[in-house]
Amino acid sequence: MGVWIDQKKCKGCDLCLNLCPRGVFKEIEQINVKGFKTRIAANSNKCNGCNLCKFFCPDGAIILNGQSTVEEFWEKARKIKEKIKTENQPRGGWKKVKTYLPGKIFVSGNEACVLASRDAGCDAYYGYPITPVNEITHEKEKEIRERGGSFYQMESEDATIAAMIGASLAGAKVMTATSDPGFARMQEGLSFAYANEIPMVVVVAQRTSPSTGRPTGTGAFLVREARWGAHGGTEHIVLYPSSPQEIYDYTVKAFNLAEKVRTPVILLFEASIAHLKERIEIPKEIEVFDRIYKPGEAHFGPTKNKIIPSLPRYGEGELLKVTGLTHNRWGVPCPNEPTVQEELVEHLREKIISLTDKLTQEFVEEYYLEDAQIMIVAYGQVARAAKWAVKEARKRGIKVGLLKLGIISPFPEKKIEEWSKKVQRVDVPEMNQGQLFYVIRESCAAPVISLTQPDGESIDPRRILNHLVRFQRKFYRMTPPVIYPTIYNPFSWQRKKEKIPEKNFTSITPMCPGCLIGIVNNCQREALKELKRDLIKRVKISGIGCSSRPSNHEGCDSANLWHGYSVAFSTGVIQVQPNLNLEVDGGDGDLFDIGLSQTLHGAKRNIPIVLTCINNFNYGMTGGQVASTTPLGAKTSTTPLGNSEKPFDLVKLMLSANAEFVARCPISKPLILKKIFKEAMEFTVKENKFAFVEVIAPCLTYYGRKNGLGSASEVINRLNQTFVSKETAKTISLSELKRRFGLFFPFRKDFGKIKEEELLQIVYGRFSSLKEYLSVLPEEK
Amino acid sequence: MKRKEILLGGSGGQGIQLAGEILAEALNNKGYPVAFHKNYGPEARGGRSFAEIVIKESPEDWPEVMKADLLAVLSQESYDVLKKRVKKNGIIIYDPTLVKKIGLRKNIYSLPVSKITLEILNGRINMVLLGIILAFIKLVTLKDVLKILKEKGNFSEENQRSLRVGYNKIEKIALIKKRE
Repeated sequence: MGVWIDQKKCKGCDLCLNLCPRGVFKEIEQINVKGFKTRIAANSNKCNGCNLCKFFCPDGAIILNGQSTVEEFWEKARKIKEKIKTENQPRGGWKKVKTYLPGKIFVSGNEACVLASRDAGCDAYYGYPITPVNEITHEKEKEIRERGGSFYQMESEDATIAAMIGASLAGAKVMTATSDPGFARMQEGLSFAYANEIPMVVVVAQRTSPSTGRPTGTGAFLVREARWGAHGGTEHIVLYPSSPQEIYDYTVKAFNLAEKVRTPVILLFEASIAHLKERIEIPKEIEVFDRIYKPGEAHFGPTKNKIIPSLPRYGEGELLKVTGLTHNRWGVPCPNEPTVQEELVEHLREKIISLTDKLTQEFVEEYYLEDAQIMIVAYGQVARAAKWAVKEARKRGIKVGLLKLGIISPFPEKKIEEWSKKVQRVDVPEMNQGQLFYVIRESCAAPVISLTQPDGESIDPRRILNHLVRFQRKFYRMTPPVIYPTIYNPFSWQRKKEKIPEKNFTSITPMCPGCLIGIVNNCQREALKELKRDLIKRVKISGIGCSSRPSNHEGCDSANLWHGYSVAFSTGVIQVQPNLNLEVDGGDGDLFDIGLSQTLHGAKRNIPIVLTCINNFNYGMTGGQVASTTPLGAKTSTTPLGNSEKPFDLVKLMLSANAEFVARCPISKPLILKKIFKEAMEFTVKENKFAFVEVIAPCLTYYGRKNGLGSASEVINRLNQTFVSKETAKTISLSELKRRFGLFFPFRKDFGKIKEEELLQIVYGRFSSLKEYLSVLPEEK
Repeated sequence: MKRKEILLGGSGGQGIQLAGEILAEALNNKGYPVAFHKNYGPEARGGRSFAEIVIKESPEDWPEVMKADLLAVLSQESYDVLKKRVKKNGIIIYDPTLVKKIGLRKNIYSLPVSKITLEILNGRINMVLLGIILAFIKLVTLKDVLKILKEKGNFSEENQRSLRVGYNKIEKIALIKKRE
């Protein structure tokens, strides 16, 4: 009966020594290689085989009967790895595939992107609702449902990137679509993907930034972040199409580059092209690249001969071990080895930089540049407008040409430098405040003019033409001086600014007619009136979504923040000024999907706020996507056949997070809701604790229309017929409760038996403990 | 053929986007190199909703409206924003009950689109407008548009009725031309 302790692993923690019933273990005086005073199995003959020591050794240093389990598993894994060197088949390389809709079709940029991803072999998609790419999410959901593959609408963009990395390592070609605010959230995950050389495609349709900006506007505000984002200073591949046809072509190329070079590829374009519908031509066949896998080879760089390392899948015996820590070619974490870090980072840079010439040739277009005196450098929609302007300017004798950038990272410095030497000046029009011109200026041997248009509208090609003509008229002769000056928005770029009357705050909210959210605000105001509170101390805080809009239109201090962080924000406010009365409003998506962690922490922290969740059962503002409170079986934009998951019970969640004031009320009972708000507001002041109110107010425009709810009045009637107070719930029978539940959620009956605890969701009132909430149900007779 | 630009403007919920998209698809089916572009505010209802249809001279031509040949507006807000984007001699169609303040221009047509819609059983204002526009631009026929409605699954009785009424009314109502 051999009991050993592996001296290299033992750390002398004494768990085995104290727990062994037979006293097998003893301390020794020597120090092992790592510097620990270890233990030995001095009396191994006393061992009775109880195995406790094996379980309790956290380092797996106890060896019983020859082999520790840890080492046993490693030996098996290494044997499998040897075996598969000859058994597994290598994969990857170029192949020709037939396209789904060959020929000429009339589609928008978003639709072209989806078709291209289908042809390129992308059958995994993870996304999150954000304007202007919701069409991509809806179309991919439909395609993957019909064709097979993996689709999920995640709870936030951070989660999206994590799911994408998982899908890619499991072997799929994966894609997501997002916009400026979502892309900013993805940076930590993207850094992991860059460090581990994980192929994926991130499609970004730029709207107007910074922050929430103009959600339905357009622009090129993400240029800087797409090139530089993701901590760690990695080099990125950022492609920039300028029309729906180019979106199709570049999406296919993006997937091929991602698989060939083993890196995330960002496909960047303006929101106006996402919605622009034009005729595009899809070839009958395209060439598609699958990632190279060679059995037995190292999984990560750097590699000899600068080839791209092979990437296996999980589950084929390759011991694919992936870590965010600095790692060597086999995935072994090396956080203490400076050489490994240096080699890894240089490999990641060289991998991309070495492609600069090839990518420049493929994605940079020269238009009328041969005899040009003026060069326009532009990308995206601006490049297309510039083409029109160049053509018109040439008719008037102005010798201007265009360098159209279809790629902004790795940057085509050499090409720009080469052409800038032949021209007298370089004009850089952009649909932002001038984000790429700095980089262009660094490679230019001629003076550079920055022409900015950051107003969130599409650029008018006549503005570029006017500038060219008027600048020429002023007869600027610019010879390249020693110090290259940069001119911003010269007189020729100025245009008449309209006199818009100053916009003042208004109490009129931009909601759909009949939207029930307005009733919540009425109840809050009436409650405040009856409490005779000092209105100066009132602060309304909200996030993103329909429920967040009214805070901008109330007569008090307010904050309209980004997605999911209103509770965290109020922590800062209330700690610095404890005597303020904070009302935090949010939707179910904002508070319980992307902001779930913050909301639960707010309850646990007991910050004295009144948190109102206006539960409209979906993501209303972005077009009715599924949320964590969407009932089982309900139809939404991303679950057109019915939601297949049970929703969160918000009252139960908040009670589990130790909130002491938790209430629910349907919007059909405004007087009771007013009373609940009064109680909640008094509670936060007297007890200095957290209060939560859930208001049931279904969305009429999206959720309502998809699930047959009718007009605002019909919804109010239905709520009155179905919801019961907690006092009434105790007196009626279980079957009556089931009937009411079925009346409010009629689509539920096709989705399985209704569990008793689900019936709690139509009970309203104030609940002070989980026990009280769960005991509300009547006894089964 | 020469470049032609059409602008539709209204408030969210009137169906401007759908009308624009159907017109663009009908033109595309006829073989014109057309581009269709949307522009709308963040509100689901109300606010502004513009549709731009451009018949380009070549596939690479600029796909958005620079100076429209025809503008149809169904709300005051959209008229205020879009009036600068119409050619000097461009045609403007407006609904006098929805657009009260209208400047002095040539080629303005006041057509009571909303009133016509109310007279039809379950009438759809965007379809009536589309019917009227067809009678103005004459590049596609009613049949072409009905075919698109069928393909897109919008071939309801109300849509067909509204479209036909809008198209036929143009010949019957006396067009009130406002001159400078």
